[in-house]
Amino acid sequence: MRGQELLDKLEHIAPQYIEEAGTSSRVRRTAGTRVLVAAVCACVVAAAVIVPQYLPPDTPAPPISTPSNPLVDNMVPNPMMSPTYNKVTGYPSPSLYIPGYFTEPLTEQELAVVTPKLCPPYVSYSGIAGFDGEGKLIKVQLSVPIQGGNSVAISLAKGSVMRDYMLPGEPTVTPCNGVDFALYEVAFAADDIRLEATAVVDGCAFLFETTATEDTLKAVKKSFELVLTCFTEYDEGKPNLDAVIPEEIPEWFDRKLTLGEAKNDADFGNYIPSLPHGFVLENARRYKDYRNDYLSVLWCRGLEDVTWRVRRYTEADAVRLTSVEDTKNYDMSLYSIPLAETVPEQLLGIVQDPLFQAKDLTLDVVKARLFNGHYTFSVKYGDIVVQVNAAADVGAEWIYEQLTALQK
Amino acid sequence: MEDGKIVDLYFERDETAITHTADKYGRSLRSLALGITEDMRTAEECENDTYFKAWNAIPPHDPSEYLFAFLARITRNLALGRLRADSRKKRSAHIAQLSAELEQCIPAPDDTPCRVDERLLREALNRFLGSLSEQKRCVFVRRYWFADSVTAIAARYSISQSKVKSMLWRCRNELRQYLVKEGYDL
Repeated sequence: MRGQELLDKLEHIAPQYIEEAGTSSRVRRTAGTRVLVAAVCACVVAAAVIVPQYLPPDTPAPPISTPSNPLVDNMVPNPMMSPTYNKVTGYPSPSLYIPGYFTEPLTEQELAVVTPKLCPPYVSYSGIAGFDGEGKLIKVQLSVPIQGGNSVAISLAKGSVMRDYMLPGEPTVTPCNGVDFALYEVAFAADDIRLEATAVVDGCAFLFETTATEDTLKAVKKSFELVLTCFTEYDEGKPNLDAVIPEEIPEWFDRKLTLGEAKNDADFGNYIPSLPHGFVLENARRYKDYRNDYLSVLWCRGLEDVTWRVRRYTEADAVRLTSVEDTKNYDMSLYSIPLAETVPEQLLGIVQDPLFQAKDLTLDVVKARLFNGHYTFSVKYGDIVVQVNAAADVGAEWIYEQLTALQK
Repeated sequence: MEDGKIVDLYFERDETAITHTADKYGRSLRSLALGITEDMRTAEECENDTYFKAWNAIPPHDPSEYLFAFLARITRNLALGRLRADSRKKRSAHIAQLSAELEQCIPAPDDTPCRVDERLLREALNRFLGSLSEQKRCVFVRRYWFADSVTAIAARYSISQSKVKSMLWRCRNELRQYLVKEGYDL
């Protein structure tokens, strides 16, 4: 053994020692530092008095509608604001976990009552509604295309708006047609600028979001402000969110199981293998929502792990299905780190997680999947897919034995 | 945001989990990768690959109690892998230095691949670390796990560089003696 090997083996030291060293420090505080700390504390206290406002979580942006012909009913709004953007450094993080969250596209009727009577020229609104597992509306998310291929995402919800970064004082407000907007310019990456605006009108919260670069900032701001102006003009004064109701509440659950319960699962339990030698069960989970339906089991030994996930085959899996003759799709000895540079771009998806027909699987195929200390691939049994992600320690033979046993 | 909440986002397949992870740990992970690869671009790639791997690993992994350690382990692994895979470059001088230092802990260094049970060695290393004072342990882990320079460690803990070197020297000797005592034929 050489020093390099010991350096590698140190990788597996206990997580608590890594956490401890990762967060530990002891900075000697000089008088100047103390003054600085006191000043920062004062700023934090000042910021803490801002009444926090809340808006439900972010969700994937809805599809942007194809720009349509100019709508006859659309009036071109006259921007009536002198915008003042509050500069913020950092990235907002507005997500919360909502059990059973699901979305539905807005119907034409729903769209009509949640959008304002004005619309920027040459575009139209599209949107989705997000509900919790009980069917209660969480928010409506609209989208409107703007210049440069961007779009503005507009979230509407009952209540108030969440800001989870703090400003050194109240934001400067920009009034427009009787609505007070708080505009934010958030620098969150080297060349990315996020524009946001919030407003609350009669118990309805609005959050507007878009992105720009240094080069496009001026033009994007102009379009962004035009969209804001549109949302000051509702026939009823505000959107009618009560009219948005779910068509159907999809089934959802998230259950932590014992290994016995996992093996007895009616849908996928037959595809769970025996315990890998020396490993212990860390987590077994049966999850279903409107997008996912799977059973997963995780065994661990220290920081080594074996993950076994069972779900149904979907059309999206077809692109990863490969013949064992087509070694370029799965043989990791042909590639090296970084995969992004050594694997042809069109093969990247399949190489990272190829899907084999169970009848084609051989021990050599399993061995060919060893890369960076893990075996990663999927196997198709009829309409069932078993996804394997196993540490090298468990051995290709064990994986192969378990997978072939599932065919019997 | 608390680690548990970030992990919840991974479980819900909410892509903002990546953003929160990057906000909270991105700088530390990049710094870890940079210390090993000594190349900012590579370090950034390692950081991004870490998020990708974490996204694929959670669930079923549930590192709510040790998210940073979980991520950092991935980053370290990726960075060391990149260093080895990149045959166009010479081995990092910094890693060579760390390897040379650690070789002093090995009772009988040779070129034979280690045949000891990795699990037992891992447990022995953890027992050894557990026997150290918190400060010594942190200095040791910062040096040989995070690949920090002596200067960086001294600044981090507000102690002199000579004290860091002295602590590391003692730790290496103690580890060597510990491994001999434990009967490891390395």
